[in-house]
Amino acid sequence: MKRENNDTVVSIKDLVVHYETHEGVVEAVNGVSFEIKKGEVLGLVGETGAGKTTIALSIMGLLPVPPAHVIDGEIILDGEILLGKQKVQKGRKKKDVVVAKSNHEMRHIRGKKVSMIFQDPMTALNPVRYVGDQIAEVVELHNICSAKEATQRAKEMMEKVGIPAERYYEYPHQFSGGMRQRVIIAIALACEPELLLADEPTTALDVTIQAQVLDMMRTLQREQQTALLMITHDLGIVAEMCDRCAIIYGGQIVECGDLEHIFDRPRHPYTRGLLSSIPSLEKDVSRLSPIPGLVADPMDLPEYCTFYDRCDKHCESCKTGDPDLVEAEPGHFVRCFRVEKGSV
Amino acid sequence: MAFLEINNLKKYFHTPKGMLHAVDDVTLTMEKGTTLGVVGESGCGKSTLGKTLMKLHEATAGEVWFDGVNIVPMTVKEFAPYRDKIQMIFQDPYGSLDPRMSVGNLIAEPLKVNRKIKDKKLLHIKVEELMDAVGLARRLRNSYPHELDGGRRQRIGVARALSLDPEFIVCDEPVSALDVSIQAQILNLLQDLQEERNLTYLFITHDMSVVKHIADEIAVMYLGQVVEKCASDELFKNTLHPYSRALLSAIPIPNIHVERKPILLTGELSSPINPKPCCRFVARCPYATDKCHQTEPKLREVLPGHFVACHLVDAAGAKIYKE
Ligand SMILES: Nc1ncnc2c1ncn2[C@@H]1O[C@H](COP(=O)(O)OP(=O)(O)OP(=O)(O)O)[C@@H](O)[C@H]1O
Ligand SMILES: Nc1ncnc2c1ncn2[C@@H]1O[C@H](COP(=O)(O)OP(=O)(O)OP(=O)(O)O)[C@@H](O)[C@H]1O
Ligand code: SF4
Ligand SMILES: [Mg+2]
Ligand SMILES: [Mg+2]
Repeated sequence: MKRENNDTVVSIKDLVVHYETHEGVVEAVNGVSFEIKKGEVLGLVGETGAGKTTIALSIMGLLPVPPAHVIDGEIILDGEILLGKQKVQKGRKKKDVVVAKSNHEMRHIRGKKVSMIFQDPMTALNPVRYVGDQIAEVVELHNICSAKEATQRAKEMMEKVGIPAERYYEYPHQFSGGMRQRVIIAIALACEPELLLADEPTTALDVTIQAQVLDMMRTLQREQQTALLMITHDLGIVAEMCDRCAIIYGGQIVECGDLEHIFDRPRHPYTRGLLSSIPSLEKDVSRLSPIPGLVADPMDLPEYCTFYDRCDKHCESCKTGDPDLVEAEPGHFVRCFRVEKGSV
Repeated sequence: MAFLEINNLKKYFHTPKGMLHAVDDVTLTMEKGTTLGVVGESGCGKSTLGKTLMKLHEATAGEVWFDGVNIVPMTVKEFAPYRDKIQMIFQDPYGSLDPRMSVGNLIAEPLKVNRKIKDKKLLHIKVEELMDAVGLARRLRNSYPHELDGGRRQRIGVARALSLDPEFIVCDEPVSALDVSIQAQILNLLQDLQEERNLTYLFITHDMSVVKHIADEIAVMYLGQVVEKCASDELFKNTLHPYSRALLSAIPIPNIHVERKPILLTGELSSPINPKPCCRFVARCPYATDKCHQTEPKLREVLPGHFVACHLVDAAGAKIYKE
């Protein structure tokens, strides 16, 4: 089914994903919604275990099932439903069940419409195949073209990411970390996907190499008008690369908006805490102001606001339930009772 | 004499492809109670420098004067009284702790090994004192590392390093594996402990905003060598070495009103194996001249307390290269 739409490339609605393990249920993603338009870069920022990778894997259809279990939600990519609720006959009754595309169907979508750069760069390349062939392979898989054309396209992509095409017939171990990451980006963008999910794409790299890789990613993203989900914990990268930003905590988006909203007028106590924990290059402070306590444990989330325990603004009424994501100003959404009431 | 003086320290490794110059002629001094930040790309020799100072690696050449004595030629036995005074905190709180030991035992272990405190009751008290000092709740005494988060595990690492009342601590990327909100907690802890105990830190990191915050002085390393060293503020205000400039310009800044123009280097870190007698940065340097290809620039003091190793910075600290 195709849905006529403006230029929204991907839309995620009310996504809920759990991991059902022996130790208990990990509530990894708890009602996440967002959209990314053509050519737009959305930053997804959060700490360890916040659910960032789980969201990306849900879009890719690569969640490990079991233990992963999509409880609820809808994902539409380029008008096509990747995951959504369907009425299924269960005994006498019809029940809503979340149905995802099969692995077979997804194989034609992955690489072509959506690509992902994975968090662990060491596992992403095959150590015993030429790097060039690894790029050509995705092109061949999706474009009905000859092997020769695919090789040509792979060489073009290598040049685009700043690797001389004559290094086509080399193995990953002959490349430095930065070059390997650029090969991974070349593979991800070879088929000009509508959507690129980049999961901490430069975390393993040195800053000087990171600067090269980010610069190259941005150039290609603009050229191909790719919608990009940039997962990172580095707010510096967000400031530099993104158009909008979503801050995620305990599997929920707690604040979302344009960069001016997040950086100049952050409202959620967590976003504010995050910004003030980073040592600044511009200002000298003798002591940092960390957020007290520990990162939320998705195996043991409270019924009320997930940030309550660490929040310096909490009051008794914050314990009455789970706050909604509310529009605090046009385009700026915040999930906090006190912001909602206008008391912070 | 300064509290710590490192003179022409070298650490080479034999490898199948030749001699790897991991630390190549490093000279640094540190005063007691200060923090020297060491920054530079992966593989530039930061950890090797730290380990050589602790005598976990035997130096290939050079001297390390610790509080007036050269520890490099010392035998294991001679070094023993100094070992307690020099400790290390590692990056990976997960990998550096024995998973089968409880928190209490992990903290007590260095004390037991060194037979510092033999009495069980006193040991118990000392462990509790250490737990208090690093902000670990006493009830966690019987927990195991896997039950704790990264921040608390790093607190165990700090407590272990403190247990023998050291004077000098090599902190090797102590916060790199932690979330920013937790990272700030550990940085504050390290600062408090330094003030209380007059500790001297060699603080290794690749995060420039962390090093600017915590360090009094910064040494920038490139392929085994120190290319620039000066007070922390001075490095950011008056960056002289082309590599330091590229490094600082590349940091993404979490402020949307700052226009950042990174100096994009071409090429990547060259091999530290059998390096040629030229500037180590020459292959990536945008300003390299013939001289840079022919002779190795030496680290020299061009402004009071500001050291740089580059042919294109003159004796008065003026940059001869055009940006
Ligand atoms: N295969 C799995 N089985 C069980 N639990 C899992 C699995 N994968 C992830 N989790 C848990 O789900 C939660 C969310 O994990 P996720 O990897 O999405 O977080 P993240 O935001 O990407 O974190 P990080 O910044 O560490 O990469 C975590 O608590 C994690 O331990
Ligand atoms: N035991 C060893 N044997 C041989 N080579 C080594 C050994 N230890 C380190 N090296 C090499 O010495 C050089 C410096 O390594 P070192 O670990 O000191 O770098 P680093 O600056 O700490 O890097 P990182 O930021 O990645 O931790 C590297 O080229 C490394 O491969
Ligand atoms: S000595 Fe030459 S090559 Fe080395 S950093 Fe200075 S200008 Fe660049
Ligand atoms: Mg992740
Ligand atoms: Mg190291």
